[in-house]
Amino acid sequence: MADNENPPKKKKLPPVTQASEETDVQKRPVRKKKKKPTEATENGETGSTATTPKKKKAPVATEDGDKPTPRKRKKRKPPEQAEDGQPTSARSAASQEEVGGSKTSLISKDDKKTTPKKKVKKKVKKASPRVGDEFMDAAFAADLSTIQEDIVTPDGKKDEDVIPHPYSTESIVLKSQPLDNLFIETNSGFKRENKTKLARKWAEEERFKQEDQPEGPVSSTIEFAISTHNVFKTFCLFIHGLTAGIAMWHITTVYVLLYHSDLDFLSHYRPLALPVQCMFYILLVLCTISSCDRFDIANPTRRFLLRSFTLQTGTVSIVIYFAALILSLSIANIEDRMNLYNRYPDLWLDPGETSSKIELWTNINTARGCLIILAWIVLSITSTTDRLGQMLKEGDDFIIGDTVELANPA
Amino acid sequence: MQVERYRPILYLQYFLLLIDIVMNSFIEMLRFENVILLVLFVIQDVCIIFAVIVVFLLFFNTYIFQAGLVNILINKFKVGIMVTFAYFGLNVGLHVWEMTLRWDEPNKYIWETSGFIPLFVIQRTGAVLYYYFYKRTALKLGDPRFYQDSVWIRKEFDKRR
Repeated sequence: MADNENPPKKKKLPPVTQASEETDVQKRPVRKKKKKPTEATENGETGSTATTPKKKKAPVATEDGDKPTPRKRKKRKPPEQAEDGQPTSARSAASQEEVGGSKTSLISKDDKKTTPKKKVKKKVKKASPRVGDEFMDAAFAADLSTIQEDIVTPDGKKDEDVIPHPYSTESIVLKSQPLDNLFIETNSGFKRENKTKLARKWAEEERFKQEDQPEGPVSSTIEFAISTHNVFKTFCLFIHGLTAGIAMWHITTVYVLLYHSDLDFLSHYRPLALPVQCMFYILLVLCTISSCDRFDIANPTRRFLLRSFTLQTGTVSIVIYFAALILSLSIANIEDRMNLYNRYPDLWLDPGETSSKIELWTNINTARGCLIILAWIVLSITSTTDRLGQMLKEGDDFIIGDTVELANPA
Repeated sequence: MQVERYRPILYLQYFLLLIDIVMNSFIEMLRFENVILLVLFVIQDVCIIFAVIVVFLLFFNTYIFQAGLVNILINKFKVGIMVTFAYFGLNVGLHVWEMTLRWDEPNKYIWETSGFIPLFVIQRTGAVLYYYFYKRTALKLGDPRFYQDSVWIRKEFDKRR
């Protein structure tokens, strides 16, 4: 296969060089003469009607002596020629077919707008050869014979050949389009990586860096305050769940133990009574502080109050926690009495009082547990709220608020 | 104020609050002897006094206070200050009452004393408010704008003169 592929390449290469060499020789004349066809076609298109070309033929013939001056000018404007090169072929074909179609006319109009007015004179001169071929077959054959050759050949191939030669390698390089892959050098060689994926990776890394930076060194006192507040908030989020779980466990335990007789229940539950009371107190205190922090009740705004009373925020959890706390404290005396059962059994001598106290305690204990679980559910719905943290971060309002406060008395 | 200076102060304030919470929660389980109970009560009350002193030292450290605009600062933190003093009063009252009831027998069942349970409930519930407002005040005093000069303070100062 390789043998087969190579020979054609070799065959192909020489003609390119030859062509380029030939074009080197021909370049200058070609450039001069190319302009004529391009502009000629433009004129031919502009005057797609047969009347205009005929008028232009006469001046061409008369101005033959002026030809050298326009050629020099044309040399200075190769880029325009190159741009016009491809369209000319299409236009010439169109003109040859004598199709005054809408497309060709449109293209020609566009070109007209772009070309400067000075060129009109030159175009008139160059229009003649093409027109002569089409309409005046033999009239200017002698003058335009050389021009004709130049016109015919550049139309297709010469245009392409002339331009690339000095930059032939560049033109090839330009043709190669950028890949989506980057090749990154590693120890083992080059590793292929998708550009978009790499970009995403870098973006993520930068994001992580940005996120990490503020957590590192604390630059101001308020940042330190906020960081401690965030730690407390996270810790209390755990405490909320723990409290609810303990409440659930406590209710079930109590109901299991209540299968026994009252005194039996007392003897079993006694060791738990005071620790449970103390534990519920500290847990409820932490939960209440945390929920107060989250909804920052000391800094109420009108909108926040409205939303709170319509239960759109989790502020009701503060009320529930306070209710649970008060219930928990109000049965502290019964729990202390249970705690003292082994030390002072006289306290539980009266069976009627005992059963009534235990029943009261059971009910309040159940209510406490249910309230704790309810508050936890309410709070977990709005777990992202952190008004105290926001207030500490913003903090701007205090100055404004104070100016208002001070303005009124003054 | 420097972070290095504010950090230990804030930790101290948290520590004082923690002591108070632990005392409030577990003092019922620490009724070994009347003297121990008394010492614990005293420690708790002293902690509240320390907390108040720390907050006022922070107040004195602010630029607003040093500029003579004490009213602004008091207006700003009046709720916290009031709650703290109320809680301190409740705390001392309850401790004195409980100590007189328990002095002879630390584990005595004292809840039948009329009025004791309501005071107990109010003191313990007020403690939550004290923790919340004290913590909030401590965090708010971390705002660096309290400790630096500003156009607003100069305007207020001019108004006063």
